[in-house]
Amino acid sequence: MDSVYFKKIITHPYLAFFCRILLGAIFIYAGANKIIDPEGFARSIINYRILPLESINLLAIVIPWLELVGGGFLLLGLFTSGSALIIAFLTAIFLVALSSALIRGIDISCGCFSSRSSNRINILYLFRDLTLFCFALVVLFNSRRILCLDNKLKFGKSSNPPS
Amino acid sequence: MRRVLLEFTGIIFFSTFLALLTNYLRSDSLPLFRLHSSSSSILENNNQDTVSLPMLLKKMKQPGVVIIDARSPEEYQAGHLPGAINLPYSELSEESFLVLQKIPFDMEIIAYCEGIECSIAEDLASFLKESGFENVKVFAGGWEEWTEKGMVVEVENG
Repeated sequence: MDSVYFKKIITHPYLAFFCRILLGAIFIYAGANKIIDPEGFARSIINYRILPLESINLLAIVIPWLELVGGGFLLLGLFTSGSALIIAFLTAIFLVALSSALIRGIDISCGCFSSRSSNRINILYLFRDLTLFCFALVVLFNSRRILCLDNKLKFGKSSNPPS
Repeated sequence: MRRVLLEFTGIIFFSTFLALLTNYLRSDSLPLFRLHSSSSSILENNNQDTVSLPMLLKKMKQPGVVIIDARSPEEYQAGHLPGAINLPYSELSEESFLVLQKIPFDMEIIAYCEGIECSIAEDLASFLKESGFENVKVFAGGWEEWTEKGMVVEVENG
């Protein structure tokens, strides 16, 4: 009975709408900040010491635009499933990078929203990204969408707003 | 499922196109592939902006050099390089800015933090350069190398 009730909450279209708008706003903000300072974002990626140096610049150029476009489409409710998958993919990558840095004890700034932020990484960032990842999954697996351009343009399944 | 994957791929291609286009058009564009290697910093003049331990020891004897500890106040109080002042980059306060105001812009500043794995000193160095300080360097070995080599440390009382 509890699992049915839980499933009802998780698949409620208003919850998905809330997650969609919140994620869209967060990732537009994050992407825009990084686009303004790509060198700073490249420095943040290097500090994690995971990827070969030669690949850093390309990622520093592309990832912010993925965030901005994915966030923008989520906010508009356009290509919602694909955007949610993009956001889930990005948050999964950030989770892996954060976890790796925390396990290795690397003392660095997160670089999550701005290269100018001096906040050191800690376990709270892990919980934050896990929450965002869950929000993205709620949007991705919820086919009933409200206030969504996909419905107007017939890209997604038709929405059935709750009565 | 297929539609989701199509949207996913389409957004990646679209974002990549926009990213490369805007990078090409902007004046401060990044090269697509970073060719030179760097041990702990991506600063263009890496060798000029970091100091080794022997160089630091030499500079500490010279006038016009300020050593800045970028770690937290607790770490600083537990032990720091002799004569270093504390400017905890992750906890910059009004007091920190008052300290900065007393340092002339042409002083040579050498910042350090925990060690090679720590980037706080580099972040602080970038911040100081943007604030107008002309000569800022980083002691990359940091507190780890200083204590490993058995150098003298200062401890704050109270």
